[in-house]
Amino acid sequence: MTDIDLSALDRELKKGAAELLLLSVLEARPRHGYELGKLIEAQSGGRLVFHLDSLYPLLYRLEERGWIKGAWVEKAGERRRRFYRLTPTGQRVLARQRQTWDEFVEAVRLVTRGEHA
Amino acid sequence: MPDWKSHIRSRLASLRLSPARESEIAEELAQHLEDRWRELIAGGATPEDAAHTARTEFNGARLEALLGTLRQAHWHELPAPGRSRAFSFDSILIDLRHAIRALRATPSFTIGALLVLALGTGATTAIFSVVDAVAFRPLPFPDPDRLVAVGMRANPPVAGARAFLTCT
Repeated sequence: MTDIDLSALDRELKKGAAELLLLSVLEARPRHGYELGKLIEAQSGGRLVFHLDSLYPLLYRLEERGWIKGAWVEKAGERRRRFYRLTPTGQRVLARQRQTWDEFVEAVRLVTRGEHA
Repeated sequence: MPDWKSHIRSRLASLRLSPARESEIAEELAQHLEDRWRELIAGGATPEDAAHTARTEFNGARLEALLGTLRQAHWHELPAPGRSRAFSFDSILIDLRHAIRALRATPSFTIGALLVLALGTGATTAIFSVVDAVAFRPLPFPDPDRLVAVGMRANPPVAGARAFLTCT
């Protein structure tokens, strides 16, 4: 029997979760990269921290897939910033990922707490 | 304020980003580091400590590795007209994609070019078939190089004309 590669599972889970997190915080309105990182950190009570070296490659990857779209925005008296917004494809992906994630969490919960129910 | 852009650019140098894209990424990431630096200073850190912390949090090797997996990090520069470039299958695929897009964008030109090509190829093939059958292929007889043409002349030779060839 083959052992489950737990490190690969861990990696995939984190990758999937990171995508879901970014898409979720972009749902309400367009945001720039730094704001995205701070918002995720604040909303998770400091448990989830995105550093620059993983945040931007992921944003660019989602942009290459057409799930989000970045555009430079200039405001009077401020330096220009690149804001990201969810595309219609991104909205569909977010809905699907949310459902998959909820089902996965529920399945894990059933297994881990099943004995005590 | 630290020169964050140069710091980022040094990490992007190994990637094959287009110059415009590299400039955008350097600007965006430098802004992020500057925001973080300012936040640390606002939290009570000295500018030097804030710069040190921001640099420590930034894992350049990881950034390089993750960006390297993106399509945009494999940009191909088009050579200047008349300049040759090294052979690679990637460049052939890029040329093919470019050609298909260009042809799709101009359907009337594509149809015209195809018609000209079809007519040209057809005409060339037809002419070659005739020339091949008449001039290139040997005659369908054994020892065709020994065949001679024999003819008879009805009128007598002109008076005073000299015979150049006499058969015995």
